Amino acid sequence: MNINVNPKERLMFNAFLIMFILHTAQTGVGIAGLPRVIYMEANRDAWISVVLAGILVSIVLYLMIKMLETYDSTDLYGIHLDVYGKWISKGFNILYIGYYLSVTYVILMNYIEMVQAWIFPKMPTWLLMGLLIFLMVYCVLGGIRVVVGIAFLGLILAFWLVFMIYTPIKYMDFNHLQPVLTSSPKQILMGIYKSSFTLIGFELVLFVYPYIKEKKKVLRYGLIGAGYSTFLFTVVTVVSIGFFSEDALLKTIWPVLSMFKILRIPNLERFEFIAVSFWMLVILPNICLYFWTASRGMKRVFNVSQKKAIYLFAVLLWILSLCVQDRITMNTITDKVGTSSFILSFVYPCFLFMLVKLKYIFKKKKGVDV
Amino acid sequence: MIRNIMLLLLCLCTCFLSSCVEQKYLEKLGLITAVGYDLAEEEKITGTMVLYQFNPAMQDVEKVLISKSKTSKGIRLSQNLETDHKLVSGQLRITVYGRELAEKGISHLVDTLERDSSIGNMVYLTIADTTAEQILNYQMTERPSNMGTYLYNLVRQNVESELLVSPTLQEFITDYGSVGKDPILPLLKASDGKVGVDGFALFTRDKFIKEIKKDKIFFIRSLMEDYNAGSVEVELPLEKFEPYLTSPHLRQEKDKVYIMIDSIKSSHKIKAEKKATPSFEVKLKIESRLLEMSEEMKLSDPKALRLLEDEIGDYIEKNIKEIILMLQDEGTDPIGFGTEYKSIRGHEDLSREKWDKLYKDASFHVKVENKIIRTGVID
Repeated sequence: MNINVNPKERLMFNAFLIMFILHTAQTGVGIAGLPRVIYMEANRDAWISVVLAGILVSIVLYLMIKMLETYDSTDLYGIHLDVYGKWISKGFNILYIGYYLSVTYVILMNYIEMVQAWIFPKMPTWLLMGLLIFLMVYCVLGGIRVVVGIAFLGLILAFWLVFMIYTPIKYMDFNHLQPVLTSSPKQILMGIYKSSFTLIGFELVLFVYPYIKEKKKVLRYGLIGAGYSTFLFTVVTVVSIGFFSEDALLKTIWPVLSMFKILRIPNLERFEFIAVSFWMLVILPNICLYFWTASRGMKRVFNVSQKKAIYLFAVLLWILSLCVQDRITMNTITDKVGTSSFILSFVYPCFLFMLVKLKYIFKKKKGVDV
Repeated sequence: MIRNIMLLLLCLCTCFLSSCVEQKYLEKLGLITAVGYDLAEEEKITGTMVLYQFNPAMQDVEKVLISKSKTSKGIRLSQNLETDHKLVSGQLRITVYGRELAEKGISHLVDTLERDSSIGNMVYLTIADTTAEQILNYQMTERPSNMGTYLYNLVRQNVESELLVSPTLQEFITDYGSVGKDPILPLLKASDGKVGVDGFALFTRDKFIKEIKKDKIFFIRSLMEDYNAGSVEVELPLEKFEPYLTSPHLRQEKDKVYIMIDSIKSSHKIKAEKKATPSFEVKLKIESRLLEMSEEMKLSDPKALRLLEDEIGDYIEKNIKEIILMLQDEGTDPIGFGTEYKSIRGHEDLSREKWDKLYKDASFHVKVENKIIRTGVID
């Protein structure tokens, strides 16, 4: 395994697409439940938590890209190899592969739960899981360019959902948002922490970086993508707080979908059915990106072909879906993955940034000495 | 070539198989359009359901089912045994709660409506003057094809013409769940061969405590939502208009003049002040058109019109004051003074109990500005 990867020119894509990748990786099933999760911690100042979390994302993203720029063209797996050496790096890389696989799993399971709760209560989990995995495998087999294409199309096709928030806005009561800034700093910090699982996805830049053509522009487009996600999350949170009364918001599992319940189009009375179905287009790029990252890791670390890794993981995911049946267990798993996401996506990259920079400075000094 | 055909077949499969996940044949379904709940003996509730069932052989597509159980879904279960159609609640339009039941609290029954994903949030909630069963089972002289749809249209057209406060499930949940606001629902009454809205039910939390007459709703609604085309009838003392009357009055009631104004455009503002005992400043601006008078007046005289404007304003102001004091007295707050007060309180949180106490001592200053823009097509 080499530190630097130099993919063929025809496999690479333009830098502006990183906007779409980061944004679609960030918005997934999480956004449907986000307002409630943060509201539980930060109360009516939840939206401040989201804004602050968005700023935190931008800072971490900046550090990540600076870290990547120290090298020519590498990904996180390569950086690990450079920093920790051959054997320890394997441990870290396996951790990340496992992490992305579990993120894929959690997203899939949560989406399936959503479908079962809203549209098809009788549909078995394994069937939906099988169909979604089939679609996902089909996309990922096409390679990174197809995955990026899915991200682009997913955003374009599901973009109109954003405008559907207009009706709930009419029902908003701004009194619910006032008075501002009454939550304690601790509550707001807890809110930031809780929103981290929804906001992850921006760290995928660490893995797709080698495939980007104009590496100089990554920072600019990356920040735009993450900024748009933050904006969207903030809007959704503000509208949810205004729309629901406090008791109702604490009870509602998917506030965003429940808000769609009041939408009524003359020949389509129940809009949330469409929303849940269309949500698949939102999560498809999501799971494809994470799944690609995991399978890509297998290739980089163990040098097996990516195809084999994809098939292996697909079967694994499908078998795992048979194990969990109820909502409580799934909630615990989601929480566990959420906690690790805060460490692996926010904290650890900053730490790694320092290590890389230290090593770089150390090397330079040595070079001068000799 | 074979590859292409296979691909085409696969694509066609996705089109044709998509409906095979869960079939629902319309002919085999009983679409519930309205449900009603009443209190029965032994902590049970009586459920009444109005269904649509489509059967080409039958003339009557409406069917009413009644049964008793402990929970509302239990009622549906036992009713399913009484019909050859599978009951589904996706088309539920309106729910009716009996008076006795509403007095005990309806939050647990509303909760299940919200929990069920097949029920939309725009379902109307109403209270029956007597029992829900009586309302839903009432034989009107002019029979509509379905009682549920009839009631739904009744409420909807009145909400649209701004005579009712919109009583959707969504609004009930929001009002019930926020500190410092109580729900308000229309009260249905069946008599003289017809079913209609007779008044309004005021709530404390989820308990029905008092009803108000339908002519009073204007004064509450004007402080909850702005009017775009409302109308109200006002009653003014006759003596002040004596100089402007064109003909000697004709009516039996000699000291009153009745005026109907419509096309009302109103905007309201409620401002809370931060004091130990809450005080509220209520401002209401009304622009209206004069439509009917019980006495003839010289409206071309600007003085007469000014006087009329002021008197109407005073009348509305007086009524709003009365209504607010009445609401305060009863301990119900449909207008949401509590949420206004809460939003200026800063760091202290307002609990329900605390607001209940504070509300009793609150003071209100009402100011109404009225303006008559038009007097119809004649002076």
